[in-house]
Amino acid sequence: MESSKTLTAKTGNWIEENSLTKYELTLNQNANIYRKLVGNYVNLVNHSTLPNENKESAKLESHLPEFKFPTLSNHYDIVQKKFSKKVQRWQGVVTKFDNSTFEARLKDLTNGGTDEIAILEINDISPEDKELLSVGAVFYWSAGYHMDNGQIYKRSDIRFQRLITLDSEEFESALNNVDILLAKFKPRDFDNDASLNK
Amino acid sequence: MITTPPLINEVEVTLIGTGGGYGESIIIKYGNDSWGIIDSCINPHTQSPLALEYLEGIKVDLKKINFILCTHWHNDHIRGLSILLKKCPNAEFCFARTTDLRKFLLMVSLDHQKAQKGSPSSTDEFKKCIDALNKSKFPNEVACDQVIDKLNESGIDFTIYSLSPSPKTCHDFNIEISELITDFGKRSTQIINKSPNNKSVALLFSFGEYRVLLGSDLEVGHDPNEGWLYILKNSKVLDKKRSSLFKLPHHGSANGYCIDIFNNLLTKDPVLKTTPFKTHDLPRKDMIKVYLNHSNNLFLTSYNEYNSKPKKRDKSLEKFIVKSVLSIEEIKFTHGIIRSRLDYTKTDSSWNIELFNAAIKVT
Repeated sequence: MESSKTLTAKTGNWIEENSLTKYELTLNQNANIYRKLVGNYVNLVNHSTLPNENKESAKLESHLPEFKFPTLSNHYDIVQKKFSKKVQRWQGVVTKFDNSTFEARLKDLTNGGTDEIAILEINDISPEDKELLSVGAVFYWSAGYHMDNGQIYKRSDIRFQRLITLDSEEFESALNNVDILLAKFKPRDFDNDASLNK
Repeated sequence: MITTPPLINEVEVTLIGTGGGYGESIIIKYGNDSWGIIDSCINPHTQSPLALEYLEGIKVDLKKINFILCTHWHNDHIRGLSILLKKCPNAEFCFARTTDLRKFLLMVSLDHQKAQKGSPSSTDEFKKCIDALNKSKFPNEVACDQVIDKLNESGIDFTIYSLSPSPKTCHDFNIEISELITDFGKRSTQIINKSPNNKSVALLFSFGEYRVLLGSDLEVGHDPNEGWLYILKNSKVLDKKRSSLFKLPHHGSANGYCIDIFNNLLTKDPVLKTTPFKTHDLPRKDMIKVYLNHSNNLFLTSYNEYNSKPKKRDKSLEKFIVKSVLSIEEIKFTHGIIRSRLDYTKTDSSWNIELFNAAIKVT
């Protein structure tokens, strides 16, 4: 274990495995082989006839060959393990629904222009979102490309708009705004009412 | 581009309609050079109000727009209203009366506050309209039997009256607002008014011996205290003179049809015009037959046709989108203009109808 620590310190920071690309994993496997070899070497030294002071692991460092990982930064920028690219987004408003499907008018958030009308399956929405399904409910639908472990595939996501609450400050601000809006109204001009003119 | 302005002695009633729920807008010219705009719709590609494109085309001085009226707060009648208000410096902003204005504005304000946090807003366009007003430009709430504008030119009275909403409708709307405010803490949905069509402002345009009836989306209903039933029984501004032009209510739907309107308020063979609503399949074929029994002059702003395809995108993405849903189709934007002009200085004039873009005469 000691030698392993020493090795870690000598070779720089480890990259967490879940963020490694395939290429980086290969490098990591090589490092593990190297670590094993060093371990064997340490064991060999510890069980040898060398004087005790020479058995100190710290002193072993000088006997070990230097191992350096290649610089990964440029490579890492190009090849990431995961990415998603939304290429089409809509805002939908549910116009009607039944037990298995719902109809929605879709506003194109990517290109603007004309609307679309679609019938979607309720099974395509998550169980939590199913509870939000009602006429007038707003959802966002996105379609795009997703890459995972080097595999690229198309992906569609539907997410219903969640609860938006107002805190007391925002409620206060809404109340104040009423007075501003109200100031723009004139008293009704009943002289203009035809019923009174007649 | 439509460029010919009306003559000084002509009135004009022009319906611009898009079908597909993009909306409709009506432009009227009265007196020598006074104008009004009723409702607004936009070109989804340019986001510009179609009424503005038309008025600029025929070179109307926007200072001559006396009023902009919103008949009701449905998306197909309000898009671009605030742009119109900003562009027309002298226009009064008219909309259906509420019995408790403060409460209504509280709902608008709460909705706006929620919109700031990412919620979709249903009253945003209304808020923008109010924001566009200034000290010399007030909003005007209208209800049944009220004058929207009135002038006398060339010895002829021109008056635009509102025929609705009825007192009961205004009262019910007040209760509905209370419910909407109570519902405000709940999840994010667009505010869906229970029956906004009942709150629509129908209009009577009166000049000399002539009458024009603009039906908005006002439905007939079953309650004699609301809708067309209330107007037929209680209106104080309808006189014995019959209208020779009728903008059919609610896209020519059965809900907007009442035989008493034809029997009591319209001339024989009146000019009928309406905007189809593709997603709701309006007007239905059976209703077209009914209207053709009343008139040989039935006009639509466009055909009620479907595209049945999604919008054009990158092919592989389009394929994927089609696979992800049961069906998807583009709501195509086609707009048509039905223009009617009439010489108001003569007592025996008839309407001159001109059709532009996708507008059609139904036979």
